[in-house]
Amino acid sequence: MALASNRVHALLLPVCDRYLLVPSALVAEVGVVETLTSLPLSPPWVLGVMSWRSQPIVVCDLGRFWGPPATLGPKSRVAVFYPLPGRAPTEFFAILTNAEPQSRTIETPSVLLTDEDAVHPYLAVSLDIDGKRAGIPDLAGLKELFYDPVAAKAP
Amino acid sequence: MTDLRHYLELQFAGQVFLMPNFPDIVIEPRENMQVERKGRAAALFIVQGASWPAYALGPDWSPIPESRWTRAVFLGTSAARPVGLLVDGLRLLPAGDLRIMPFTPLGPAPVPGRHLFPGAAVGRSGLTLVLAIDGVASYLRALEGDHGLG
Repeated sequence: MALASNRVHALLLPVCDRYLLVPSALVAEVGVVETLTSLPLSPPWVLGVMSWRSQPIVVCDLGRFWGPPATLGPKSRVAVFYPLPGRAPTEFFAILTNAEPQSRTIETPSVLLTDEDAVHPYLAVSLDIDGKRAGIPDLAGLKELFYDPVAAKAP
Repeated sequence: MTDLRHYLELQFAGQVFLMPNFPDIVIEPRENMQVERKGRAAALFIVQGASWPAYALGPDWSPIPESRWTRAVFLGTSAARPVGLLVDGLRLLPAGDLRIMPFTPLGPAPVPGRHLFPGAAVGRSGLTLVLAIDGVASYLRALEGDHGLG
């Protein structure tokens, strides 16, 4: 089945055993993993906090939802995301990737929805992109995952 | 204008944290404490017939029976039930020397409705998390099954 969409400049983020396909406009920067400060009492998918442009941002291992925990290595990168809709302008966050993300211009009909039966947490849809297994993150689901409804009220 | 506020730099659980130094924080040296386990508390401070529990925390912030603590930092001493955090080391830092940036920890709050780390000091050598006094006090009280937020 073809995905009905226009040309979109996107990034393929290698996470766990698949790729996350995200519009480039959501990503502020891709960089190396700076020193991570442990964030006690956090869920396992929170790897820690790092300094980015002189502000603290949380680094997440979303791959844990689809496979084993990530291992930090020399090829590891972080994709720093702009704040999710409705959140404060300083609430950037980062997703750990296995390697440097790949830039793509996505056009119909190069993107095919897969017939995977499995429901993948925090993926809105699964895709096949030139033979690569990919998924589009469910941003609404991530927002629910990230922000405690009482403790982390958006200003 | 000179910033006269101070932060406490606390070393415990294998990590360094910062906490605003408020007037209702009371610091007691180890020699003033009664090192006696009561429930999950590692030590007590006896004051005017009342005993204030104090907790030593491990790296995962679970209570541990003993550590190399040197002082107890009591929070909420103007409230009905002060509670203490046992720290290995402690320093007083001028707020003007720190660059504190707010941030929102991701995931569910460790105590209902409260995150424990509302900010971090960003320095050349990395980040130091800032503790929310009310949140930490609530967390420590919850260790004994008391969720009172005093």
